Amino acid sequence: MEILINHGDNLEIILKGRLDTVTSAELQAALDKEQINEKLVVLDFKELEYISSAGLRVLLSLKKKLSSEGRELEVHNLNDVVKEVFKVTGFGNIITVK
Amino acid sequence: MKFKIGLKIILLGAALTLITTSITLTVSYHNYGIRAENSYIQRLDDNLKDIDLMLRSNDSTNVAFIYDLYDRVNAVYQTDLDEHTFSSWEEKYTYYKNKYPFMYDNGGGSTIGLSYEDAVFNANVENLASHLKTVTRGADGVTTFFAFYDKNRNRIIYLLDSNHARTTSEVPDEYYVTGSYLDIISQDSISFKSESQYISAKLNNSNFRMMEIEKPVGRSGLEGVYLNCYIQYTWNVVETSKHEFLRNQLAIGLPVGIGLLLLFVILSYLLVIKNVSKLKKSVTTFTNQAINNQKLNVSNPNINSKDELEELSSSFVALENEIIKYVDRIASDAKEKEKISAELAVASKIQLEALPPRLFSDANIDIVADITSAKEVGGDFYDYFFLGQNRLAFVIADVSGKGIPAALFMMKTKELIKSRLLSDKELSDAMYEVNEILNINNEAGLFVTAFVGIYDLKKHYLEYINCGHENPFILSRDKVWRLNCNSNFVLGGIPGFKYKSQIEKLQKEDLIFLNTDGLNESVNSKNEEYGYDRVVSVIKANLGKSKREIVEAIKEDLNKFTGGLEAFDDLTMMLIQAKSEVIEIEYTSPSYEIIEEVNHKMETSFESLPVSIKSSLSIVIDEILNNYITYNKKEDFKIIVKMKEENQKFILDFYNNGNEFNELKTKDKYFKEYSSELETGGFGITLVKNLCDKFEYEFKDNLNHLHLEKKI
Repeated sequence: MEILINHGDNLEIILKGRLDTVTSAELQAALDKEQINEKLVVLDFKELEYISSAGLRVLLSLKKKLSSEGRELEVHNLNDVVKEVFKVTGFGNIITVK
Repeated sequence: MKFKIGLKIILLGAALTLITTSITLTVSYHNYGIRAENSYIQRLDDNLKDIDLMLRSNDSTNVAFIYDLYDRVNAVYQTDLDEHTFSSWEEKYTYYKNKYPFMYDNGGGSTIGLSYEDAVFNANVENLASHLKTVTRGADGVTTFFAFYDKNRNRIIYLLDSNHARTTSEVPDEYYVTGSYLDIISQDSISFKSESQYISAKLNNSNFRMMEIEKPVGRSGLEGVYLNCYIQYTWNVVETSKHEFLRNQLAIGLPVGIGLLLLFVILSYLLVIKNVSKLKKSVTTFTNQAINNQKLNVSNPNINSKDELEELSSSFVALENEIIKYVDRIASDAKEKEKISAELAVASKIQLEALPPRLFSDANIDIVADITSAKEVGGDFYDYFFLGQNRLAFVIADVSGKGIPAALFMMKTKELIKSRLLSDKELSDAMYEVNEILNINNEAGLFVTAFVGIYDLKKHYLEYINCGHENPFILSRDKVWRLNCNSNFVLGGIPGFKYKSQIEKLQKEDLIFLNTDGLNESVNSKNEEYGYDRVVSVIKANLGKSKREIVEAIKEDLNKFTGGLEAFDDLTMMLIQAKSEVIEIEYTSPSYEIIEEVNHKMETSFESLPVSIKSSLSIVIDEILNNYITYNKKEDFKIIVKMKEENQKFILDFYNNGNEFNELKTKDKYFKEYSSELETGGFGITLVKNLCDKFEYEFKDNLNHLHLEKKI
């Protein structure tokens, strides 16, 4: 999976590929390395094929971290499969989807 | 009722005899009665005439005497005008004897004071009485007397009676004693003035014939005096005579009547009834034989009466002969038909057994065929056979016409196509040759429409030629579409036609649906065609089902449409579908890397799957295998993954040899809102359940088995 991180007004993270058991660990590692100063973190899923429960775990962990720091988390451009996953698990209720 | 007609005839005869006899008897009796009465009255009148003559004889001395008598009696009568009733005849006789002593013999012959005149008187009385008696002598029940009429009291008073006896003091037998009278009651009829000399009167319920006694010449003072001679009579004699007459008549009439009736009966039997009975017997015998399915024998009524019965009889015999002939003909026709039917049944069997099995299934291909002939033997056929290991040749065809000619042509065509294709010819060349041969010796002008295809089972290329046949349907994953065939001419139509084949690239899971026009052209009672729209809608409604189920669904819908109407054309369907591989992989002591491998295998082996399906399947594979590997650390841990695509479904089977555990029992997880305490454990199974259409678990042969299905 490709991870592109862009700092700016918001922290933009673009994922290309899939967020499964293996790649989730990669994302987690990348996130741990980053210094997040922005108020809002946006995950762009335009080129994300799908996300498994491992990926969801990474997202939840990120959400908790940001919330405790008073920062916001959004996910953008979900495809149908990812939307379905968010709906089924109720992740759409804890992370803002745009 | 055996002799109903005979009975009717006899009754008729009896009635006629009875009526005529009765009428004859009644009329003759009546006439005789009148004549008898008239002649009796005539006799009575003759008697009166005699009395009249007697009275007029001797210068009518007797007439003078009668009136003398009248004077004497009347003189006494006028002194005794009261009504008298007596309790006995003796009393009456004694009274009147005392009243009119001159009418009675005082005994001894010489009476004191009897003068000559008295003697003359006496003699005259006796003379008159005996004359009267003479006249009516031997007349039974008849009394003659003289009497005169008292107008004031409406009585007739007796003067002298034919039974008058001048006896001594002994009381004689009863007679009309002088001076006694008969009251004329108002209903009585009597007339003293009449045109006829002799008249009838009915007095006191007795019958009288009376005659006026002419007044003597020279006597005066007799106005208002009616002196008559009366003959009282009864009809007894006449009645007796009438009865005797009737007895005589009956004595003759009855035997004659019975004789006539018998004659009538015998004649009607001989002339009519016997023959009617004969005819009836013949007819019923024959009819019963017919009804009870017995052997029919021509009857012989033997009626020679030279009338309508004889005609009827001969007509019926002629009819019997015709019926017997007809029945024989029918029987032999039926035998003939049975023979033909039996042979057709065998022919049908031979024909159907020449076709390949209706169900065929191997590792690479599924074929389901269905054929229904309209008649015992049909003109439709299907065929399939392998050309080498990887190519399937198939044919569906429809010979023009039905029955035996079509059946023979069908067998020929089938073998021609097969032999040409098996000889490794190009499809176009093969069909060219088939057409040439079919056109030889085809005076019957039969032809056949056919769709011939060669299907590459590895690359899924379909090479085909459509010779005037229905275009096949292709059931793809997400749509139903029709093969766009060029129209080549029918086989056996015209020689020299250049057939051209086409190629279509199909998807592995595509289902080829072939049919003959017996399907879409079936009609219902309103003559509406079933049509392809209905076919397509039934197919779409049954897309996920097995091929056999699709065929049954179409047949059921068609039957509902036609309302069970008899099909007039053969109906054939053939469904061909390549089988998807079954991917089976086994891992021992697996690491997380196998997840990637399994996913990759899924994506490449089923590359035509839509992306979203693949993504969903990837998630499922990821979750399941992740769980398996995470929670099973034992040494010889084994995982087996099976994947296949079938009937618009993707089927995943996961096996592991770990401890018995059913992860489907894990509760679903769902986030309602954010909280810092949330955990993601358990989401995997939630996702699996929601991404699959069917999920089942079983522990069998020491393996945990998870069966998952997802609709495509």
